[in-house]
Parts: sequence; C-alpha cells; structure tokens
Amino acid sequence: MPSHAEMIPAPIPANDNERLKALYQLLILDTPPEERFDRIVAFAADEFDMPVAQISLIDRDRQWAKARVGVESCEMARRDSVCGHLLDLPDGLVVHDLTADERFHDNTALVGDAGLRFYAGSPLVMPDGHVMGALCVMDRRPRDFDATDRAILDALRDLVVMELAGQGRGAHAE
Amino acid sequence: MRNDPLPELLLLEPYFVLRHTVAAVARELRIADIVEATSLESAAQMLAHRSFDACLVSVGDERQELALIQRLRDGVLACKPETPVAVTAATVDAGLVLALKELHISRIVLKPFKVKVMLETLTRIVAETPLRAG
Repeated sequence: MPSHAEMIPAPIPANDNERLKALYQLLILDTPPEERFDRIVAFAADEFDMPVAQISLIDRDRQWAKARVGVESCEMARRDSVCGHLLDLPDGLVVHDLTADERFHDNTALVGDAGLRFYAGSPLVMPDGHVMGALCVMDRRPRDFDATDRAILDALRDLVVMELAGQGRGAHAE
Repeated sequence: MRNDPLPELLLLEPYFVLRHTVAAVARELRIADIVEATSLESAAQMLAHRSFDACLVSVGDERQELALIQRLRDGVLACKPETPVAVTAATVDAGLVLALKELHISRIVLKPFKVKVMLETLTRIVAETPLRAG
C-alpha cells in the first residue's frame, strides 16, 4: 500500500471554465431531488448490491449530488472527490480498494469518515463532449467489477445523460 | 468479438430503466440485438409483422401476455411457432407453471432480478436459437 505519499486531488481539466459554463447552463445545481434521477440511482445501488450510489456533478470547488443513496451530505470538497477524477477519464474508473490506491488511500472524507473501500464510476459525458460528473457506486469493502458490470453502469449512465440533456423519458415506470 | 449478425430478440418489459439497460448491455456485449416493446399491444404489433429469433416476455398479474404467446405457438404470427420464449414474472403459482409448460416456455425468471441475471437468461435462450446453433 502506498502509505506515505499524500492523496492526489482530482485534477482540473484545461477546459474547466467552458465545462463549468455548460454545467451552469443546465440549471440543475442545488435543485431539489427528482424522481427521474432518484430511480436510476436506486436501480444502480440495487443492481450491484452497493450501499452507496450517486449522481455527482463537479462544480468549481465542490462535488454536488443530484441523487444519492447511502450518503447523508449532498456535497463535498472537489479536491476530495473521486468522481472529479473522471473528468479526464472517458472510459470510467474502477478502484477495487481505495486504501490501496495512491490517489485515494488517505482521503479522509471517503476512506476515513465514510469507511468506503470500493468505487466504480462512469463519466457523465454530454453530447457536446463536456463531462459534468459521474454516476458512481461505492461499497465499504473491496469488490470486483467485471466487464458486464461496467457495461450495466455505462447503460445507466447513458440514462442520466439523456435526462440531463433533456432527451430523457423521465425514467418512469411507463 | 463476433462480427456475424446478432440474434434478434423481442423484449416485452414495461419498466423503462430495466428494459433500456438490458437492451443496451446486450447490444454492447454482442449477446443479441434487442427490440424493445413497452406494452402488450406494441409487442403484438411487432410479432404480427416481423420474425424474431427469441422472445423475452414480462408476464403481468393479469397474465394477458399468455394469450399472445399462445398465438405465437399457434403459428398465426410472423415468428416460427417453435421460437424460444422466456418469461419474467413477479409471482408464480401452480397454475402459471402449468400454463407456461403447455406453452413450451424455455425459462422463467422471477422478479425482482438483476440485469445480470436477465443477460444470463438472454445468453441461454440465444444459444437455443437456430442462428447460434448453426
């Protein structure tokens, strides 16, 4: 385990100002919970048997959750955000054990306070290419996450993106 | 990765998140090309006009979907009467099991289930299709 080096904060992409402008145009930050997003997050938590799942949006200095399961607070510092790392990772990110990863091993907000060990996230890539955040699932124990799991998470992520882009169907039961 | 045409499956499932996710992942993993039906009526229309290699049908509490499967077995739809059919259902009793046996249903998946379980079922019924067997 990389025990001494300090955690690596989520990098700020070169196009962050343009990305933030596109994020603000969605008019979604700090809006109340909506069932169309809550359904997707609940589905993800249930599908993967994960205690934590959320739709995270990366603001200038914070991560804010539009929908969440298993976490009390809807926001955290951007530098502590694992989802923030996905702004430059278009294929998503799976961390089997956060405590064994040099980027996150001493992230007190996640590993310490929340006791989280596993993370899988799929980036919310909008049609214009900007990445707004991620759909992620987390667990308090190290986990495996195979190619089928990743494909399922990506498919659920696509639903979130459709909703954010105004092309969704409300993720309702029909 | 296979480059040959994927088997075409009809998926009748009213719940959008589940239906979309199963269809998208089945395509992504090249298990099957899923045609999505949101209701019994839309499934009946599709089955009347085109053939599928297999069907996966969500059976509701009213079990109206069984009549559609019976029509398929009777050969009055565009599909071959022997087309593999699997069903999903929230509840199963002896009467339903008997009815499904008489309709030569390949598999029953009880709800709630994981997408992964549904994909495993799809993989198995795809293996039963002539396209895969040949």
